[in-house]
Amino acid sequence: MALLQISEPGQATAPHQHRLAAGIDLGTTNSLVATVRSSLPTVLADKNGEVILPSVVRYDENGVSSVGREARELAASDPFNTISSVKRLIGLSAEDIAASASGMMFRFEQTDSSVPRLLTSAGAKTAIEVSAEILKELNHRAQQSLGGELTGVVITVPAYFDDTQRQATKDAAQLAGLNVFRLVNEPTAAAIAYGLDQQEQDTTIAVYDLGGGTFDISILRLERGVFEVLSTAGDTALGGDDMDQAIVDWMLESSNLSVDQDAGLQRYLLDNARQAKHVLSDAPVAEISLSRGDFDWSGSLSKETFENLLEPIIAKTLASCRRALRDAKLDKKSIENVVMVGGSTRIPIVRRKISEFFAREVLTDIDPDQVVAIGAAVQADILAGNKPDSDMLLLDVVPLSLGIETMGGLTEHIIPRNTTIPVARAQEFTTYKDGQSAMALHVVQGERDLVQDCRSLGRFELRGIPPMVAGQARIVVTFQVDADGLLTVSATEQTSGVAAEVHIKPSYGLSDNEIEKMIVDSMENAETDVRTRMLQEQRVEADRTIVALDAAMQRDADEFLNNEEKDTILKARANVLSTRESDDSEAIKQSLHALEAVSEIYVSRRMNASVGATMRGKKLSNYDKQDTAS
Amino acid sequence: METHSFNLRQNYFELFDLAVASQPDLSELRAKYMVLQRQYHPDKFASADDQQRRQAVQIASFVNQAHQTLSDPLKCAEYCLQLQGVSVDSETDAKMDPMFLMEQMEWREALEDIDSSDSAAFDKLEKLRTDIDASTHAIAQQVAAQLESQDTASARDGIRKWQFLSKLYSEAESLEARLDDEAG
Repeated sequence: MALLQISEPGQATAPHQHRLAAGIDLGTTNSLVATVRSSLPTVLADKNGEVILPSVVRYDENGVSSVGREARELAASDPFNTISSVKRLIGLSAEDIAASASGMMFRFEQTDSSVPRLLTSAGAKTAIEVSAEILKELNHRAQQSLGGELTGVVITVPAYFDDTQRQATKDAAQLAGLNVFRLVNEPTAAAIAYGLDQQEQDTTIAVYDLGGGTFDISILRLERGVFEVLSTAGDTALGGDDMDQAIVDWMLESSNLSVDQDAGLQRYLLDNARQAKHVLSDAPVAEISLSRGDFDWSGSLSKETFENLLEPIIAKTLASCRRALRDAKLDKKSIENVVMVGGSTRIPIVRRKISEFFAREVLTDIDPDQVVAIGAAVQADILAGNKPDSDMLLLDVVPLSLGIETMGGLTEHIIPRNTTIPVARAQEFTTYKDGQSAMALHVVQGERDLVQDCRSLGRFELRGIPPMVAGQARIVVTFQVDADGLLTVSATEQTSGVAAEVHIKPSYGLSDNEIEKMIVDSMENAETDVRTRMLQEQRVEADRTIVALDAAMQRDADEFLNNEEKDTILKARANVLSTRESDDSEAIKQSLHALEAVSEIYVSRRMNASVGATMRGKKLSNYDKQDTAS
Repeated sequence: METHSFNLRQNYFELFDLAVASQPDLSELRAKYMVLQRQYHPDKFASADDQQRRQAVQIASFVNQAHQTLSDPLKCAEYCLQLQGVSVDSETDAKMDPMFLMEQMEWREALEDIDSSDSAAFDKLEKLRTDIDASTHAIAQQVAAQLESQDTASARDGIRKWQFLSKLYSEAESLEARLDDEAG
């Protein structure tokens, strides 16, 4: 340790004073808090020595009655006042939840508000408020254990969290009175925990994170202390909960009994399923004995049956692994470290399958439940300015493409997924009508071609565009994504300087299920997408060609064409117009080809005569669909 | 590290202290990118005041954009052309080599014909990609020479062709991804 540390401006204001900082893993099932003490990252325990805080909040008439283990134990007896897995709700609208939260044990207040509120005896609570209770508990634990206030924290979020979910997480922290240094992606935190940044050599890392409710795979590159996320993929409604559910389904099938609508019984079965799952990590068979009300059954679950139940879940994760590798443009052989994160990676068959897939040993030394919190603590320590010599740097990426709606309901991606953040990208738009004075922008997030299939993040309007001829206005729209992955959109008309700005800070966002659905959809429906897109493009193309042709013909058809030639062209033109009304993009394309073919002589005569440029580019337009390369 | 003196108007080559070239030394670019990231990444300003934090986001965005542009061969060529005062997108001239267009059309048809029912789909895609690659490489070399000699008209035509090829290539890639997913 150097005796004298020189700190750079803007970093530690009091270099010798250790600033208290913590890393928080705010998980779907469990949450943890960790800190760096005497250079060692440590997970902090409560007064009973427990490090894991179940992410469960229980309310009664007086407010919050308990958070954590005690709350979880009471969940079966009082399911509606005991909120668990609230992370699945954070950043969601009531609409989202109606669409995706089936099977979740929540009761919502019926209101018109877009912010869903959970009904409890203590009143209606938003997911942000419930999450804030968990954070308060962790903050309290950290202060007790460190003996002072935290200057700031790093909170981890799934790599797939979109803008609204990240914002909602930050709001929860603010509500809990925490200063957030940075939101860090969970897999990145795990790689930091393994100290892979200490390695001499550059390395490529895969982080396989199978938790209670989410699955993520991230490919990271580490080069001289700089972590770079190359790609992330995931299936965010997949995890230990699904395994438990698979066991419950097996129990129901084996017992010929049903849970009906009994939330308490459902919870009871899930608890038993979870226990069986834990037993099977070491034992060849789990004995299950259930007795609750009319439900009376016992049986044994063999490891083999259990592993068969898990097979489809693991297969799904492997599909995501392949996708992440493809996005990173890497072969699985080039992955040098595989980090296992999340309680579900304790299951031997999960480790085995992943190890087989990457053809190498997987890293499991650090407790998979703690590894994320430990990494977050290391990063928090650096951001607090306690380690001015640290060379470590995180370069993170945008998890889902950000774009804007264009003509015909198509998405134009402005920042493709996996672009390094922070990033600012400007795109120029123009007016399409003479004298157009306002312009609406619809900002969306997702991979699909059609706006209706992506997540709407917000709409905003640019007003007061000075009257100009169509195509004269130069509207520059700037997307700025900061280092937390939060988006700001601004737009300015260049010639007049008229500006509009929207900070996207909505009260809802994508559900985990929805993100998963969007990603799966974008693969499964790529075919239909392409077809719809082609149809729309061909229509736009047909319109463009006809307009150009009409303009040209009006000007000089008589000069270059005899009547017969003119007739042929007009017939082909009529044919384009009639196919344009069909749903057959191929027919439109053919008719356009035909029109081009018969117009060729006209085009070349005009070109030769070096007359106006109206028709130029027409021939190309079929191939040059969108790329005017940004 | 100071943020207020940073020049956001310098060109990307100046930023990385590299000679203007359409094919810059990527490992040198990478090394200098890392140095700048270490200096200006917002994480280095987590405890700084609001203004410095905002500036850091701006600078890091600029650095990221510059790195992305120069490390992508096509974007880099477009950028070099722009530095010579010519925009690729200017609609002043649209003539395109008919031979090139013919080849494009053939490739496009070949691509459209490939589907998952075709047992040789992956081989056909592989062949198509190899062909596009070879063609791209040849054009890239020409464009580099044209940019070097400031023959902007030819460079622009070359870059346009390159854009076609690049688009076709990414379509081939996404088709491959789709077939891959279908194959499980």
